[in-house]
Amino acid sequence: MDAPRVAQLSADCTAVELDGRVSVFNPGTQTVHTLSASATAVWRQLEEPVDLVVATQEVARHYAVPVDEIRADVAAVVRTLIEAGLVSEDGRGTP
Amino acid sequence: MIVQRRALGVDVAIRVEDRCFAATLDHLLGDLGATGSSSTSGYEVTVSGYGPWAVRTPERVREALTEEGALTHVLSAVNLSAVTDTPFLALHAAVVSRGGQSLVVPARSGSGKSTLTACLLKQGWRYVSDEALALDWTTGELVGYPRPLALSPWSLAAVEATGGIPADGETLLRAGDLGAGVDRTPGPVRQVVLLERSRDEADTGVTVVDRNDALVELLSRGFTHRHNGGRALILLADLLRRADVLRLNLGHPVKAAARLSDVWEAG
Repeated sequence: MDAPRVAQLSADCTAVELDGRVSVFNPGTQTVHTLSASATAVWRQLEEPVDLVVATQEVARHYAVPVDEIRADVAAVVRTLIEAGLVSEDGRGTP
Repeated sequence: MIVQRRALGVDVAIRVEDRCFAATLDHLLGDLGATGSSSTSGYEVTVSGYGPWAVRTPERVREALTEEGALTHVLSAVNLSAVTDTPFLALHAAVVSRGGQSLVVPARSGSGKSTLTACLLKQGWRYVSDEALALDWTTGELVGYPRPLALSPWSLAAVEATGGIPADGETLLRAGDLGAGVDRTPGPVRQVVLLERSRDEADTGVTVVDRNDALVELLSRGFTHRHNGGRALILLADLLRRADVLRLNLGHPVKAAARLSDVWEAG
């Protein structure tokens, strides 16, 4: 499956942050998802529509690791968030 | 005779033919508030007969051969109506208060939270509820639901409680039976305690845990959170940001309650 190129938070979800982790309520599925610390780092990059190349660079900077090391992980997190309905995508491609 | 109470914001009217049975109900539900002035609608229960009894609710009719059984049917119906029809955000939890602040123990039925609550009441805490943490959807303020506590014979012995009214294998107690007062308008939550059952009765270890653990636990115990899940999430996150979240190994409930009281005083 191709990773999305541009993604943003779904407008109808509600998110809160506690102890450095984000929990998100999806009204469509009536479920709450508590994100891991690393998924929270990705989530923070998606508050505005963002190119995932840029988002990946920001997360890499946050964790002080090379972009190549985390590119696949960021793409996987974004795919998971999209599948859970917490993030919407615009365009497709490889970040 | 009609016994009228407000349970979690739901006006309840219980029409009872047997005056002795009515007096028992009136006593047991005495810690709940009075009904509103315009309480023409609400939840109605009718208890007819002098033995056997028929307990009629909008949902069904249940027969009871004993007064204890009838009492159980009535209280179950009132509680079910309260937690499903309440206008508040309600979650399955015990709540007690001390010094104008509240302690919340979210837990499922059978987890030992009512026994722990009874022990806390005997140690000077005020009773808010052994059933529901209830929050105003707008302000987030707590609302009391001091229904009678139902303790098993084992719990009754552990708590060293006397008195109460028997009902189907349990004993029903009011806060006053445990020497405690009632808090219908409790203050803000200072501690949320997650229970971990321990086989070692002496084990009452307390550890600080991530607030997200409490958020997940509270939401998994929700009665009415689905009415507005997003708002429920915001209210609970606000509550948890101001609270300490602890995990308690629930060994013997008296020792566990003493441990919680010590931690509270030390905090």
